[in-house]
Amino acid sequence: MKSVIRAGIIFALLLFAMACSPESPQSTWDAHGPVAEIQKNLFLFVFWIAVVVFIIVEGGILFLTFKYKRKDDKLPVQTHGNLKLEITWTIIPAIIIVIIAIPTVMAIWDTQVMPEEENSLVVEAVGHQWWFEFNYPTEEVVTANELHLPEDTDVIIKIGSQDVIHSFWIPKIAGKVDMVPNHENELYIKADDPGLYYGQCAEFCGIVHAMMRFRVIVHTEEDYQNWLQEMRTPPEKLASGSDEDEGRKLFVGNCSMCHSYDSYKKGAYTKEIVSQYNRWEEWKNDKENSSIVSAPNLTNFGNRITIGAGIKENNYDNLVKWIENPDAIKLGTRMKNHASIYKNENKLTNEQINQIAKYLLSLKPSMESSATYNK
Amino acid sequence: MSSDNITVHHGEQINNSTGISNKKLLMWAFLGSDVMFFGTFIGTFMAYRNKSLNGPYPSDTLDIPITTVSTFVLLMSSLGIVLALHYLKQSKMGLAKFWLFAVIVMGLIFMGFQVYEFTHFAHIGMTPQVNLFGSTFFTLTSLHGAHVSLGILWLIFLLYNEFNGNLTSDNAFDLEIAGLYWHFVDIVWIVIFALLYLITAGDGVPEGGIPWDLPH
Amino acid sequence: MGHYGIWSWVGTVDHKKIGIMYGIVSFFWFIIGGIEALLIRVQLSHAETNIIDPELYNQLFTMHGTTMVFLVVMPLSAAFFNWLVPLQIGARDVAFPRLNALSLWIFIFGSILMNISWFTGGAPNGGWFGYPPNSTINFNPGNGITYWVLGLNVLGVASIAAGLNFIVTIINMRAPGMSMMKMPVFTWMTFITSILIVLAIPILGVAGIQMTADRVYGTNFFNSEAGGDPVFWQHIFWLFGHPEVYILILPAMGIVSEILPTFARKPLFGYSFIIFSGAGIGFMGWFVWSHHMFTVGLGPAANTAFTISTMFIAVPTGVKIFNWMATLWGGSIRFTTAMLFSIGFIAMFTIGGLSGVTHAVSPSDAQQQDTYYIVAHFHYVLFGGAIFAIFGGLFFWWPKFFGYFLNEKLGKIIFILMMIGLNLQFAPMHWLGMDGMPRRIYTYADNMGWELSNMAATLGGFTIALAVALFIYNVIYSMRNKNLASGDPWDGRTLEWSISSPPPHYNFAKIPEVSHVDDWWYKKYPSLLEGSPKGDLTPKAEVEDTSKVNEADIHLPDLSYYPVLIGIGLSLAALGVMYTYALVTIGLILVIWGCIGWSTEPVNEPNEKHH
Repeated sequence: MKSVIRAGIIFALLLFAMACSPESPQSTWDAHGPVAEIQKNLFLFVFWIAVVVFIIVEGGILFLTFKYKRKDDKLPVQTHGNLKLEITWTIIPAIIIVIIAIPTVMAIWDTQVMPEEENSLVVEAVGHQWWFEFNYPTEEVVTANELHLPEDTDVIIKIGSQDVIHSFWIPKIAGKVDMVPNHENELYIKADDPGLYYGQCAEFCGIVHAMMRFRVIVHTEEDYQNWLQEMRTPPEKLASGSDEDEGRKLFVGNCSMCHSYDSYKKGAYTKEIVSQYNRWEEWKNDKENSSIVSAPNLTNFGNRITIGAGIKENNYDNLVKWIENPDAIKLGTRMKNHASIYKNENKLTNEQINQIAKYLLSLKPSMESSATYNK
Repeated sequence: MSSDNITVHHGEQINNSTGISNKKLLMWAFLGSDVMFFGTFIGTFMAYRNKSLNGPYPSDTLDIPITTVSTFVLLMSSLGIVLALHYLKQSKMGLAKFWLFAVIVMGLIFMGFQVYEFTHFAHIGMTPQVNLFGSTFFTLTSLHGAHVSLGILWLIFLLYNEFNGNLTSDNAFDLEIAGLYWHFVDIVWIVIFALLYLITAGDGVPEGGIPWDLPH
Repeated sequence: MGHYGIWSWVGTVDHKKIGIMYGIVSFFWFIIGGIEALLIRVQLSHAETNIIDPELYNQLFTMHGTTMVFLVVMPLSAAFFNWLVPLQIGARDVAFPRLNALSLWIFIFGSILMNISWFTGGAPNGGWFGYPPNSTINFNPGNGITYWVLGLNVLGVASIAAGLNFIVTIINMRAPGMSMMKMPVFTWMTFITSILIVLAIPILGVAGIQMTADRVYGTNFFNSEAGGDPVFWQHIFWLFGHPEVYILILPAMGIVSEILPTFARKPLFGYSFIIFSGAGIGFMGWFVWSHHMFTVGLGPAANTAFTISTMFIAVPTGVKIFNWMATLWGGSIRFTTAMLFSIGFIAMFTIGGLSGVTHAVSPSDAQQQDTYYIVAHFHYVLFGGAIFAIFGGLFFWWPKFFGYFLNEKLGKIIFILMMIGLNLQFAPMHWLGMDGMPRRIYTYADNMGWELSNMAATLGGFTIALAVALFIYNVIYSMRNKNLASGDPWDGRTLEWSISSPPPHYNFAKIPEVSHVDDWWYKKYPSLLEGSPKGDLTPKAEVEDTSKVNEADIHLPDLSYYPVLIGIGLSLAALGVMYTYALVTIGLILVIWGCIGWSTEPVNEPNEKHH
């Protein structure tokens, strides 16, 4: 018996050792915002109470099974019950629940009530199968799969979805809120300090839900204004005849009906909303053969950290592979089934694919970029 | 006491704790579960009230006067089945058969009204597919109609058994249980009539326009 | 049709045979569901593997969840209800034996119906909870999810029929003297579960009909383009879904409540409190459903209400746990396999219950929802809870059902392997969830730090598989090397132990007269009624001697094949909804034929007067 217990303890310790794995980029323990902090602290409060209960119950079970192991054939005392005990162990847990309830209700109201919109940054997050659209209505900026925020600012994320239910989740900053079609949900967040954070869709949304992720870049206030400015600045002019320029022509001809790339222009916010709506309607009318689908905005793509909605690092090799065959990286996206370049008559040569990749990587604003991107 | 006797009795055993026979208790429990069933459909209807994005709306389609007649017929059929049971228990087989037959006819008349209503709606463009009102209205009333139809089949079967001597005052409880079911179906209809017809028949285009902004 | 061999099983209306068939079929689905789980674990053991493509993966986790809930835990519980309740209340069968057979056959054909989808273009792939719009025909064309909803509706009919049957049986057919508060705890839990079933399953039925209507007939219940609300599905599904989890756990709690006192040799501590807390859990379970929807945007007021109602369910649950522990206290404990599983149940269910409290608090749940933390929680309560109790029940009542013991040495190894496997597989999922790993993802990036825990979980899964394989071996071994059991091998407390093992087909030669809870125990040891054990404790009652029973005097219900017919008909009709109305018609004709045949066939053998 003793050896069994020893083995059990070692086993339990091993399990706990695994809990101390290196900090995951999506760890909820590493709170970088007041909402995540409140949620983590509430969890820890309940967790430690649960640990005490755990020790009492599991310790009790171990104690009882050892102490009362059968030693002889005598019948034990035939106790039926004890009213006082019953009352005690009903009332005490009820009191513990009330104790837990108080900070809980406070936390609910602290985290789920929105601040005044006038004093906050409002960002719209729209879920699509399988990417994230981010729009800044007051700043008139649109982007996708990367959310840029200023530090230490109240942010209200207005959350919706174009198609199915998704969920918007940046574990280090706040708990998740679902993106539900026909609903506008709101999430209050605030990021304490600059840095790169990981987000992921957390509601099963179809075949490639596993690969619907995003990045959040929190800037200092100054850098954030720089980023906004960059998003309103047209890209570097391209030398005529260069690979990048050829790529631009190919892109405009084959890709731009789904992927907007010029949202640095004035009125881009409204225009993009209309475009995405029209693309969606067109796809809906002919899901099999439509050559248009809703697709991520690629303005300033050259500065993006990832491609495919947080899946692969944004570099030349990955980009070429993506354009060649998106299904090889993210099986189930609509690009392969609907984009004209995959139909036999329109197939691109390798050189053309390289040119498009070079073009996309060249999409950086034509100004001194002083915003820092912590990769 | 039959405790020494290894015989299993089915159906009408009264030597039990509650004094209600197994079959009757089964029917009551079943009706309890059917309450949840209809309750959820009725709840769906009320939740989606005034949420349709386009017409036809209740005010364009529902016909209260005609439905009042069919409701009255169904209500009278409940009275009919009470009488049928009463006469069966008294072994007045002629009257028992007459009233049971009358209930079946009234049930069929009610179904006839339903069929008329559904085809009329289809003609004026109200289908289950056209909007939320169509979906909720048709599923709820169709399922109720299915319950009525099953009840009619059951009652025809019982009437047949009255004619061939298998249903008598000795086993009148079999009709009583069908009667319980029939009353339940009637009560559900009263709720449906009150909610779907009387209360919501004035619903037209939702006030304040379309309830949700479509995504962009 | 013959009365022997396989036909006597196909047409049986005997609750004992029906219970065995439920057990065999659901154990088969347990293996299938387990294989689905192992495939999932293999795919997740490393980052960025491509052993299983995303479409197959989505089908696997959908069918794993659906199978384990509806085709394993519910019917295994039904197997125990069937086998035990008539014996525990001193009856010869349930109130409606043919209705009982109907539940079985609808279950069998319904489970086959749902799994045909693997071969007809793809199994359902929308998760066991099937949230629209993802599960609507717009986003999920094909028949996969339609198989799912139709299958669930067919299975629902089986469950409701069984629930109704047991409600009437328990209310009406108790032996003389057995008031409700003298019933065994397992029968009480069956009663509460049956009430939950008949009230909750119709709600799922409605959701299923609405989803089927949307997918097959183009209605708009969940069509967001027409204004349908996806959240509405969630409300209906979870109004069913939360009582459902109590349907899954209450029978297990009943099983454990029988085993613990038997092997501790003292009464269940706080019998009436265990009953009342079971009823309390059943009742309170109706008011918590939106804790599955904390992140959907219901607003702080709703979230507060459901947080508080959810937390309070911990109170009656705790009452049960403390009462079970008090049953052990001062006892004389014998560690049979059944006892090990029951004690393991208390320990593992506690872990699951505590993690449940951490996500009852909705701000904390905002981080945990849809992560592996939740997966850890429900596997601790469903595997460490329900399945452990079921295995305990199998080892406990196997000698009663079959007349021989399952091998105890092997049983203990199985228990140890399952304990190791369960904890190795699901404990790491707690911190996977806290480390941000969402659910229902077929792969994950390699820089997330999740690999070690996932690999451990995969090892745990295979350990459980080994334990299950060993259990199957145990069954075969025990069948071949029969270690025969008497009528009362464990010195049991309830009426099923007062008859031979296996029982005669009529159960009791003489229906017992009952005076106490645990009546059999006090018939054996009447001196204990005065208090603590002293003096002569030789048993004063013996297992029924059936050698003098004249079988010719016995009249039990005859075989009936109409339940099988209706079972086939219903599933054919459901299949036809997807393919052709001809099949629907054939199915309905079979159902109506079955109903008419059933109403008109003689219940007993022809020479018995039926009054």
